[in-house]
Amino acid sequence: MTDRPGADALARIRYPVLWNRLIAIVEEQARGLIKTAFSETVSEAGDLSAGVFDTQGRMVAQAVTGTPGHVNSMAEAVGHFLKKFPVSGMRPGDHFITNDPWLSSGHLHDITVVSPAFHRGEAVALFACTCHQVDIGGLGQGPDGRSIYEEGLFIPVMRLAREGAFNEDLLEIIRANVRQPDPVEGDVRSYATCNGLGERRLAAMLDEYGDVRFDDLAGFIVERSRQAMRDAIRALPDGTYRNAMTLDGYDRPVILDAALTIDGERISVDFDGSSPASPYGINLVMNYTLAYTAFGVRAAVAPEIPNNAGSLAPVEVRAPVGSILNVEKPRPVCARHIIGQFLPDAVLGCLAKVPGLQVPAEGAACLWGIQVRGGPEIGAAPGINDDGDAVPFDLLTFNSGGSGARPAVDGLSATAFPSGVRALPVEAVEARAPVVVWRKELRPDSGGAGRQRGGLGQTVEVGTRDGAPFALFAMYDRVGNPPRGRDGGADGAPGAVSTASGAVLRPKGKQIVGAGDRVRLDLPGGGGHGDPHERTIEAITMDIAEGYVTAEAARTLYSVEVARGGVVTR
Amino acid sequence: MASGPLSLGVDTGGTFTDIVQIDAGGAVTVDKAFSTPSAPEDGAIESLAGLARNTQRPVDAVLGATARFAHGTTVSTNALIQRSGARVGLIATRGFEDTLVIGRGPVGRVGGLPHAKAMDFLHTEPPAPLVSRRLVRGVGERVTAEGEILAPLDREEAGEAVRALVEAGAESLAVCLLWSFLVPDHEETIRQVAAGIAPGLPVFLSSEIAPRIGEYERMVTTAVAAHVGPATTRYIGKLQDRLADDGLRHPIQVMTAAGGTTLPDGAARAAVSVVNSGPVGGLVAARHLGRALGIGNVITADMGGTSFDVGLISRGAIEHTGTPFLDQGLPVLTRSARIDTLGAGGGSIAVSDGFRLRVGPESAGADPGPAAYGRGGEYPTVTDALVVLGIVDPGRFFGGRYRLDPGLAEAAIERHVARPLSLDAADAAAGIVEVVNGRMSDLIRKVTIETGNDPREFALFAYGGACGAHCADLAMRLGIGRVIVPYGAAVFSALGIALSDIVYAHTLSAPVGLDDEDAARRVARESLDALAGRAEADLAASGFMPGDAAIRYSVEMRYRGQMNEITLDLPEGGAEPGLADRLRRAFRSVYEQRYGASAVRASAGLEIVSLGVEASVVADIPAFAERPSPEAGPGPARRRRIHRRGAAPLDAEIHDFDTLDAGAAIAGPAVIERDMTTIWVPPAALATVDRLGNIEIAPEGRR
Repeated sequence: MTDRPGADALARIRYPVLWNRLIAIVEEQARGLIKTAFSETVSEAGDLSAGVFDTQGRMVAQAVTGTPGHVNSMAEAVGHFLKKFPVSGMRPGDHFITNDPWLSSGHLHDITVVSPAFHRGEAVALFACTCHQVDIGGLGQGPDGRSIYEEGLFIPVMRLAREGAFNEDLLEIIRANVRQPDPVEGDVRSYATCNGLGERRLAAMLDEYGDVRFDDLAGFIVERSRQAMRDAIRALPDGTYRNAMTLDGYDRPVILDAALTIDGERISVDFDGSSPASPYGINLVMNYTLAYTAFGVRAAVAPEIPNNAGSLAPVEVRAPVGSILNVEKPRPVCARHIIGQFLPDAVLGCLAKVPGLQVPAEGAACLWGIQVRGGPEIGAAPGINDDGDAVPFDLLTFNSGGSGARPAVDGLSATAFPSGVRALPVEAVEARAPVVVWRKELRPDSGGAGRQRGGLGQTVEVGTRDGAPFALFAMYDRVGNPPRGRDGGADGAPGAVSTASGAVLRPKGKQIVGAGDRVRLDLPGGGGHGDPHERTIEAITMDIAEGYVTAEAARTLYSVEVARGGVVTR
Repeated sequence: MASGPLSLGVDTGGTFTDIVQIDAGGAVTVDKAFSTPSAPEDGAIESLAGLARNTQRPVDAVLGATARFAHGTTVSTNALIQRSGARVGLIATRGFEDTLVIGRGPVGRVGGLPHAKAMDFLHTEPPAPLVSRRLVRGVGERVTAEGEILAPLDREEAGEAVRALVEAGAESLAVCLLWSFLVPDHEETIRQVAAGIAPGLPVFLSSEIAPRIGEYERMVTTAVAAHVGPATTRYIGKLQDRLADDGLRHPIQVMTAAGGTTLPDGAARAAVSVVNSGPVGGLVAARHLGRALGIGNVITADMGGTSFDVGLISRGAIEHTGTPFLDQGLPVLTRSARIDTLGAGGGSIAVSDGFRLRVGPESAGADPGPAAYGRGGEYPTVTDALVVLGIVDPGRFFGGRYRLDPGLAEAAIERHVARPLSLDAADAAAGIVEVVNGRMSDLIRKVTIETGNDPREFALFAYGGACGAHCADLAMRLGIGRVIVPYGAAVFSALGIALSDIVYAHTLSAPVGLDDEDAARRVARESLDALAGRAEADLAASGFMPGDAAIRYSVEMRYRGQMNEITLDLPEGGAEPGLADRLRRAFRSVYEQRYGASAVRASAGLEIVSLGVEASVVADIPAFAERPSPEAGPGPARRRRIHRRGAAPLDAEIHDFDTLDAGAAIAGPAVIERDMTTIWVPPAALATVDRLGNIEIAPEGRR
């Protein structure tokens, strides 16, 4: 039998239990956000993040939600809050807010709220959440702004509530600056509520385990994760591995040039050589670059280790100031996800060269959201009559192209990677705005051929119910530069943006779709993995039967004979 | 021998088919037979034969005296999991033929998966498709969100689609068109057309199966119904015939996941809710036992070999959910009792990577089972930990039917947990139990707190073979003052099935804002009338009079702009003046209870999402009879050392349940051994046996 439990015994048994408990608490905080949010990006799409931090600002646990771009940038943001508002000055019921892109998650549409958690009169931890707003004023979500000032309301790090009393002046300013004041205000208040929920659960846990100090637990979690991450990195061969990828950009191609160095128990990624900042809003702040790069590294190297300050620490990211990946104020950044969501693919391209590591092919990566606006506000475009009667609406719904084929299995069709947000049901879309979605179907032959096939893209067509003209805020890529296959796999199909009447639209920027016409989006497919000639006959037969690959394409891409009735022979 | 009308409950499980008989005096008789997956009716009949032997009556006498035969079947669940149901043909609005595959991104792929698996982007796979694309046809028709017909349905085209699907081998037809829950005309036309072309083809309309907004979830639900419906009706028909041959005079009642039974006529339509109905029986039994004991707030905890299921009964009513996930990721729109599940049971495997100690969700199952079974199980399980701690007696496991080898249990723990964490085996065993108890108490916390309930105001009903060893500890962690291990714990689901009411439930999407009270009242009245009509038709079809049933109306509401619906009871005459104000107040109070006062948005508009009606024919069940006094007196006192982490071992009294009389009080530390389960009474806790044979544990010793 053992003697008295020391700190060591606590660490061995109790902390592993409480670690799971903390994750359960932040999951509950996230579910609370989803339940009480008013904007569909949070309630339906799950575009949010939530986490608990120690009083030094280190992320200890996070909820598994749709958006790595948020989570890891939120991990950085809390430290910035603490610089301005030290924990020592915080009181129960205080809440702090910002949407400063440089301090939080890269554009004004993401609002971060940080709240101290008290236990027995002492601030022991912080809860934070970051959620996406459909509208934050300004031009609307798109890359057209030429500076941050055109992109909407900017809320510096400031107090949202003092000891339970909301800063009503701030809420009034927010209301006055956005197109849908009620849901935005409702959401902001619910962020504070859900952080408070986390606080109550944490206090209950600390009551139950009277001998545990949160700081010790946090230290344990962060150290163990850091160690596990280091061990995973140390198992990889040292060296520098390079990968460059070309994207469409706004008006000229954007190059992401990555050099990934494995050095003992550290990984660093240097983006020196990447394109300079764009005059349009597709630029990234360093926080956001760090977030998606670290996500890419961790997804391939050690996905099983929980995401927190410790497991993120051994990953270093550098990007030259003034490059598209590290811009300074007042550069425009609104549609930064168009580039940011390619960073995991950029990293995976480096890791593919590490002996012993297997990674997926490139995928569609960036979300193909349908961000449209109707009503008098769009009438400023030449040739469009403003009759003043059109119903004003703003709508954002997410769609995804195909993900890249994986080393052992096909890519996923119409599924996002790296972002994991959900698509709204078409009926929910049509209930929210006067639009009709005319089709939403898979794109045959869009998945790159390979031993493992890339996931399929989809074709989506949308118009207004009454045929009124509307504005499309295009934020699409992979139109000129399709996802590349890996290890002999073929490229996925490039995307296309057009109207149902046949007009070609630009993949980026606000454009007007004329009366009676519809937007048509053809989303990219994922790249293939491995030599298509090694794909099994069974898999090809299934592809043809399910309509994923047409018989004609199978003949050329896979060099097979397809008889009547779908019988495939090689 | 008591006689009078009998109530029978038969629960087909993975390993055993359990049967429970309740006679007119409330006496409960039970038996078990091995399940027969290839022809489940054989196992059911076998269990009946066993029961007849136990009660010393011929089978036809038992069935002849049976007023109700209620049955929980896994036929639908298995058809879905194995994709062995009917080959489904699907008709969708043109442009939406791929909806089942496209899904909603991660919903429909990983919605039901544990997070670690969901985020494993290198391997995550969607569930196997329910309907092959070869068996999907689009038709050119379109209805808008306002219910306006933008493009009418062409009957010719519909006919071609049906013919093509039948030719391609469809054995069952699912129809899911956009906005059909608002305007069902096009779906109904397709059914007429199909009846003309293929008269025997079963047709499932989304506007009837799941009249709710959200085409993806509605289509999944309809396709699942079309897939499992025919197999379910076929099986029930077979069982019904055999039972009728043996003397049963009434139709079988089929258990649903909503917590009631339905008659065979309704089973095809309700097939989706027959999926996963098994564990719900336990909730019904718990509600019934709660009534007998005067306990309205109950947390049910069912721990078997591989899983831990938690349900909630609040003020005498079972908590429900609207969109459960079936088969690891298929979201279906069906009202079902809310049961949250965790991969944690007696067979859950413990491993350590040297940093963390994980227990479950992987299970050693029945084969090879825990290391102590000696059947080649390499990894230590929760049962092994209980053996090492001394709580489970290796010589008396399962009434002594299995002999466990404590040396194997200790060696497995030593190798996979103790050594990596630098602990001794006893501490490691205590750690395993602590981790699994931590996971289970987290689940209970989630189930209660997330719905605005404080676990301290609930009693914990613990059943299933493995729960007795953990329930007192769970209660202490959650501040629960009262634990009940029911007398019928080993066959609790079958007991609940025998106790279930017949329930017909219908819902109707009826989106309308509360601001315009006249409109809201009109929509509510029209919807409730339509729903009441459907319920009455159900009752008439099963030979009941409207007066036989209790009717409950409900309304589902939310803040405009949220997707977070809350269901409220609607008193009779719900569409009367003052409706809007009453609903506002009721909504506010529930919302505040769940999310806190600061979450309430007095300024936000409220809207009605749907209305529901539930007609239930209450089962006429007598009160439980008292348990007869034990024949054997207490044997010689036995004691055992129980290991603890970080403290001296305890010297615990060991009791044989079969020798305990009503009123027996046992102070912890103690172990009560029953035929199928072991109950751990920790120090300071007090266990008492009541006159029904339930064991009640007061974790802090107070009563």
